[in-house]
Amino acid sequence: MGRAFGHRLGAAAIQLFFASLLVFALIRVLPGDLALSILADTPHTIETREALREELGLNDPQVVQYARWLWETLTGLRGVARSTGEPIRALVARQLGVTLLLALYAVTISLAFAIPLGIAAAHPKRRVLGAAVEGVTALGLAVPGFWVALLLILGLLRLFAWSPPIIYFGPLEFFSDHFALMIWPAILLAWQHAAHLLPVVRAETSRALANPFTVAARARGLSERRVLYRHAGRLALWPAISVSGVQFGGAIAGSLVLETIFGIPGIGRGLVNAALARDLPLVQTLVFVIVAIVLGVMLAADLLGLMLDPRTRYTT
Amino acid sequence: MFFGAEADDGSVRAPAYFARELGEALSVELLPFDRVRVTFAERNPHFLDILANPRFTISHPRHLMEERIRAGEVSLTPSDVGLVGLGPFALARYRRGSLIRLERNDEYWEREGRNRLPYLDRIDYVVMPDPFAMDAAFRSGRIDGGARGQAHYLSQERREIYEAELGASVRFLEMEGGNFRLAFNMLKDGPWQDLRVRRAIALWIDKRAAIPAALGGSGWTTPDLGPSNIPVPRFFVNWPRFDREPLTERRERALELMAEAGYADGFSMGHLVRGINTAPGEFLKDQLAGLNIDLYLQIVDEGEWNRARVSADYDSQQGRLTPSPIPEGTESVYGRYSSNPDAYAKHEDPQLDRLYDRLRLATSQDGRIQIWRELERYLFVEQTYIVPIAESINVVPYRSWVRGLAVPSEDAHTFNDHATVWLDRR
Repeated sequence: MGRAFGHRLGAAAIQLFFASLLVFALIRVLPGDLALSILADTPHTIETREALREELGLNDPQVVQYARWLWETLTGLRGVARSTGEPIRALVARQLGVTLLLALYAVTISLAFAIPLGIAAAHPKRRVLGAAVEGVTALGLAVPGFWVALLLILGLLRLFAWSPPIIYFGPLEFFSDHFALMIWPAILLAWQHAAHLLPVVRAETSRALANPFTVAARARGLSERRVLYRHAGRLALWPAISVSGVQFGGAIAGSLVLETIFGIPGIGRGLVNAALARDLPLVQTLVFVIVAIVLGVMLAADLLGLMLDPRTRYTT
Repeated sequence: MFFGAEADDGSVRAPAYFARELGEALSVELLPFDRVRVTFAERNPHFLDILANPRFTISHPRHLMEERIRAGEVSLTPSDVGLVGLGPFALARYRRGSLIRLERNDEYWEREGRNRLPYLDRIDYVVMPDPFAMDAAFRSGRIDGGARGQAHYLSQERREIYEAELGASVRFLEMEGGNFRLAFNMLKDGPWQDLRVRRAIALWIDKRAAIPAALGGSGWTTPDLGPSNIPVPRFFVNWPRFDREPLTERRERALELMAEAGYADGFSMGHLVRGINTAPGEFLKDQLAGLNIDLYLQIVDEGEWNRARVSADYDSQQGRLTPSPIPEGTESVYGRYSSNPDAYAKHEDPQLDRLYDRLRLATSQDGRIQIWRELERYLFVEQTYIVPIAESINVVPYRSWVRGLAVPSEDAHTFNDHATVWLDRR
């Protein structure tokens, strides 16, 4: 267990390192001068631009720039966002909390529906349910989330003359407003998440049902329901958690557009705003933070899998 | 009050946008009793008019900001230090990315008759980046008024939906929205250096078609068609009463001019387009295809747009700012490039310097109008550095119970204080 844990932790660290290199390099290959992009809308002299380049460290070798940025990021997200003047640490803390809540709601909803539904749909006699699950899955994969979001808002407006709240409050401030705003993007993200999760749960349960141990369970007189949910379905849990880890990142990525549509001040909208304001150092840091979180969640899912399914401890 | 920037060498210069309006500032002195003396190099008989420009109203509290800026916080904004002012409302709450709440300033000085202003106790400005979400919130009654901003202004289509669904409970504020134009880069080689080509393009474009196709359906091509509640300063609006012949006649002449210039088979020309608003560029591309001109659109994001529009890198563009309501103020967008980098057309024509100098020195209204007409004719017809196409109208929805709104006379940036607004919810 300890060795497997070490393997996964090491792999995550290497992935994070390469991700940081990639993020840094991608920002650098964008055309244009970063200092000029920042100053473009302000009357400035060449001296001012040079001073800013110096301040941003753009005159240093790329390796030095990379090392400094990584050090500042890893040692507490130091620095100030140029586009807003807000300390990056405070900005990330404020925005990330909102997005993580949204992603958490989405993943919780999708797990709560996808696991029992996927297990139930795996039973060979439940063809109608199976077809329904396939339909929901196909739509969730095919239909763009932002489009469904617009339809959803329009539908709420048409049917109930109601639209979601427009001011974001934390769950501890005004829970009812928080809930009424967050539930819709959470459901949409959960749907997309479940579209990936359902086929996995269903396939794993089907495979388990074909296993001899289920025949033995039936022979012992266990009910079909108990065989399905207690024995076969249990084997689908680990792949479901594993997929959820990956999809958690998808939920954060999916929030980019949904946060803008629903007016939620999360990191997705923050990233869009930073990109529009050409605050490339902030974009770089936010992307890295998102990558780190996704890797962290995937690692946590892996570790949970190690605990739930002993077989995986020997497959690394 | 200090509306300039102090350079490293101690000299003082006005921000670029106002540089030519104000002229060269020799010094700024702080006098006793909170007075300021600004000494300019040349006399400017319209200085008080220029000070009346609504864009001068933002004040930066120096006593709160200077020290921090000197300490290196060059991006500091007034909202970072707390807004200082004597307006009808005070900032009460700010949730980044979500809400700006203003509450009544009980010490506000202004009165309406015997009533103290403002009437409203509170205004919530909600940050809603998506215009569709704003529409939904408005239609469901969560907000009383729409936002002012490029994507949030109502197109004709959205306005019709509002009218159909909300009927008499919605009304629309119509404001001057700036003009849509095509401006040539005269500092770059290309067929557009030939006046006949520029004239041909000006004659060819169907300006009326631009209103639905490029401006969302709200706009006009002559002042006569403008909505009655936009008090455009008509003394100075001559445009676009040039080229008023029927479109078929104009187009015949345009084809002749292209042939005379040796470009009957057309040519290729780049056009800078702002990524957040591509419709005007697409309209121009479609129009100029009729002259066999391949207008290739160079669509850029906001960062590149801010850089590119003040550069001479592009063949043509539309420009950004609406001219100041004061004629002298238009030099920043019509003047020569070396002193006005934000000019729509990039040129170094000294004749425009002379015309603006005459305008500045004219002291009678008749004289000023005459010079302005000369200037317009020179710019739009005799040289055709710029092709004015149509004037847009910005439309903002308000619920019918919102009363006392002041319709901005210049553009949407002004008269935002809501001091006289009250709600009639009977």
